[in-house]
Formats: sequence, C-alpha cells, structure tokens
Amino acid sequence: MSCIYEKDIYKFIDDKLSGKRKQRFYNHLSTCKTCYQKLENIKLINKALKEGISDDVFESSKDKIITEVKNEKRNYSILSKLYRIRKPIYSTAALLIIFFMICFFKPLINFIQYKNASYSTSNNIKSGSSYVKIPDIEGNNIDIKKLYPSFIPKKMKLGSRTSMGNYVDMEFISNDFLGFNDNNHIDIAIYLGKPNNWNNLYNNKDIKNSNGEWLITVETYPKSNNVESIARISCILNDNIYITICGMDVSKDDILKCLYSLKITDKKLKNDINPNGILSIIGPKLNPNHMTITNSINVLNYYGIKYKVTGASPNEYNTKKLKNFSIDFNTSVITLVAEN
Amino acid sequence: MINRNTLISLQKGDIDSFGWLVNTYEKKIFYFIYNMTRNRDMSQDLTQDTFIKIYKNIYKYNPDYPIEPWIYKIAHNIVLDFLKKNKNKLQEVSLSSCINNIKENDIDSSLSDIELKDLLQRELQSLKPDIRMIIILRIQKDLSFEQIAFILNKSVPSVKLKFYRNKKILIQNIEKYMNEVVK
Repeated sequence: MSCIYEKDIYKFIDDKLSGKRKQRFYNHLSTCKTCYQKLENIKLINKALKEGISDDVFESSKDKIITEVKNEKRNYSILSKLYRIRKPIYSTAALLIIFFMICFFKPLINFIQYKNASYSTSNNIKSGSSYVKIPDIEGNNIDIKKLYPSFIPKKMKLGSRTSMGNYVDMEFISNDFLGFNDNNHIDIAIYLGKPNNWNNLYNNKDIKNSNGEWLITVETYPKSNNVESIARISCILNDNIYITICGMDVSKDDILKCLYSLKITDKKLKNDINPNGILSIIGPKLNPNHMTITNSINVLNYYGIKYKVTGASPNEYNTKKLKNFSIDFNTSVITLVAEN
Repeated sequence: MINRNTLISLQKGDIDSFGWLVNTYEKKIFYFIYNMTRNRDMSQDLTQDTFIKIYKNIYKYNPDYPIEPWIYKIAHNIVLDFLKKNKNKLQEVSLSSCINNIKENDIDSSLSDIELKDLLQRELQSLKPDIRMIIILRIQKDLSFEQIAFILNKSVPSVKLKFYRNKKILIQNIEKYMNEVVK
C-alpha cells in the first residue's frame, strides 16, 4: 500500500516543498520506512543519472579538428562584422527594392502599356479608369469623363504641361493627355484644350460642341527630323469635327512627313479641292482631293492644311461628327473615323 | 572558463582560441553525444562535425552571451539530424548492449552501480531524443532551463514541464525494476 506522503518525495527531491511541508515530510520520514526506502532509491537513481555514463571511451580528436579548420580560407573578421549589421543591411535592401519598384516598375509597365495600346474610343470607359479629372485655369476640376465619356480611352493618363508657349490665342488650359515632355523621345502627344478665343482664330466661326468648347489636339513629332518639328491635328470632339494640321517653325517637308502618318479612314472624303502653293509641294504624296491648303490660320508662321469632309455643311470649315479615333503607337498612325 | 577576449578573437576565426575552445568543451560535447547515441565511433565523428561547424559559423556567435549553450545548440542539431537518419541502426546497438549487461548480472540480489547506470541508459534510450536531451542537459550538464530552452528552440515552461514529468516517469520505471530485483 502506498503512503499518502509518497507524492511529496518527488517534490522533496526537486526542492519544491515549502518550509512547513518540508518539516512535516522530515517528521514523516523518521516514522515511515517505505518512504525512507523510496527516497533512498530515488537519491541513488538521481546520483546515477547525474554521473551519466561512466564508460571511459573519450579520445580527443583535437588535432584532426584543428587540421580541418585550418583549411578554411574565409575572412571571419569581415564575416562577423557583416553578420552583426545584417539586419540594417536587409532592411535597407528591402527599402531600396521597394523604392526602385515604385520609381521604375510602374512607369515601365505604363510605358509598355502605352506602347502596345491602340486607343480606340469605341471602348467605353469603365469604372476603373485611371483618369477622371483635371484642373482648369481657375482651379476648378473638369470632369473629362463626364464631358467625353466615349473618347477617353481606358488606359489614358494625364501628364502635365502647364506652359503652352505661343498658344495664347487658343489658351490651352488643360494639360497633356498623354505623352512625354522630353521631345527627344516623343512621338505623339495629345492635349485636351479649351479654346478661349476661337472666333478670332477661325474667322469668327462659332465652333462649339454641346458639352462645352473643348478641343483635342494631337501632335506628332517626326522621328527623322529635329525635335522642334511638330505637326498638329486639332479637332472638336463629340459633336463636330474640325481638323487642322499645322507645323510651327518647321519646314514644309516636316509637315508632309507628319501628314503621311495620318489617315482619314472615311472613304467619302473627296470634292471641294482648293489647292494653293503648299499643295504643290505636297504633290502626289497626299491625295489632293482630300485637302485644302490655306493660310487662313496663319498665326505665328503656321501653315495649315484643311481637310474637307463630305456631307458637312458647305462653309469654310467643314464639320462632321467624329465617330472615334485611334492611335497606333508602333506605327505612329492616327486614325480618325468620321460618321457618314 | 573562456574569457571575453578569447571569445572575441575566436569570433574572428583565431585558431589558437579555437584550440582553447576544443580543449575546454570537446569532452563535454563528446559525452553529451555519446549519451544520445551510445556509440563511441559515431560520437567521435559527430563531435568532430560539431566543432568544425562551430568554427565555420563562429562569426554568427555574439561574444556578449555565454558560449556553452550556443555550442550545445549546434551539437544538438547535429545529433538530432544524425538520429533521424540512423534511427533503426542506433536502437539495435544500444538496447541489445544494455539488455545483455542486465541479464548477466541478474543473479545478484541488488543492483550494482554499473547495473543501475546501464538500466538508466536503457530507460534514457527509450525516451524521445528531445526529452532525452532535456534530461541530459539539465541533470548531467547542469544547464539552466533558459539555456536548454535556447538550445532546443522551445519555451522555458514547456522545457520545465517535459523535464519534471519525464524525470518522474524515468525514476518510477527504474525504481519499479529495482523493487522487482530486490524481491
């Protein structure tokens, strides 16, 4: 039969008995032979356990170990220093990676997307569109998405172009739609602008669309010439189409090279030919049936070429509704599609 | 006891300081491993492996902390790896040798010191390696529970619990056997 103090034996061995209980256990030991014997056994076991293996089997292999480690060629002094500062190194590296990702990865992705994109306004804007508002000159936000829902391609983003130089007459108040400020790389830039003084510029012709007086301008920069070369197409979106192609301070050849990259896909463009001097330079390269060269928009050395659009009212500036436009960034071809 | 300067030069890969370390801890580590494997040759090889690994990783050691638990931690990892790979082989060696020893001495009325130790070894070998390590490190190597917890990568309460529970079972088993022999 086991003694009620038996469980105290282990606690006694592990020195876990409190003062009073320890004293009581001592008193008990003097009277209980079973517990005394058990305690003696446990002490014996504990002693044996503490001594462990008594086999004298150890044989030093220090020389072998030292010979082996002498072959190590690593510089432990540097390694130890590096190891101690590994955490700041890792943290800095992680921060740098994040920084580079933010700086380069997103613009790179955007660049690839723009390069591959053929923007077509036939795709409606979805709610996830990256661009919605731009500030106007008074600091009000203009909701482009609301004004031209079908003409804001999903992937288009606003750049910034606050200074518009000589365009005082047009007073562009909005900024780049797309493009790059660095002229060395630019192929195409698109602006959305609000013409402030259209009447002066276009012979008092009142040109408006139902949503306001907005003008979309596409500039192309011929790759083969100096970076100052610019050709520009402007058109009113949505309700009316009005297209001018002009170059500022550039040779006519430069304009022509730009014009080559432009296509009007509407097959019905013909008639109303009114060629002048510039047209003779353009020669057979462009279909003269489709255009009129005019000095009427001669502002600051502009040369203008006016496209006539069949089916429009027979005034000086023919108008037609723009159905959609698209830009192929690989070939720099801009395609404007007018409604019949 | 190795002083701090020795530890710092050891950390820089100084061979003389490393020789000092081997002198001080080789025997302890050998018996720690021998307790686990019960095979002399294997223990010798594993001890060598332990010290070579210590040297290769010495730059990771922080001289502000005692080196002993760090050494045991490396030895523990090496032994545990070894035990996993050679589980069956080791069990055969240790148990058979222990049982033979006991049988030969069964005629005596009480257990001698050597018999008791053999019996203990047999019981120890029957424990799981991590439990065995806790008992060896605590009882034979006199390490604190905090140090053992560091070596085994466990919490202090868990190590304490395992130690007391298994030590009790171990003692009860041996005591039971002792009582049978006496009867």
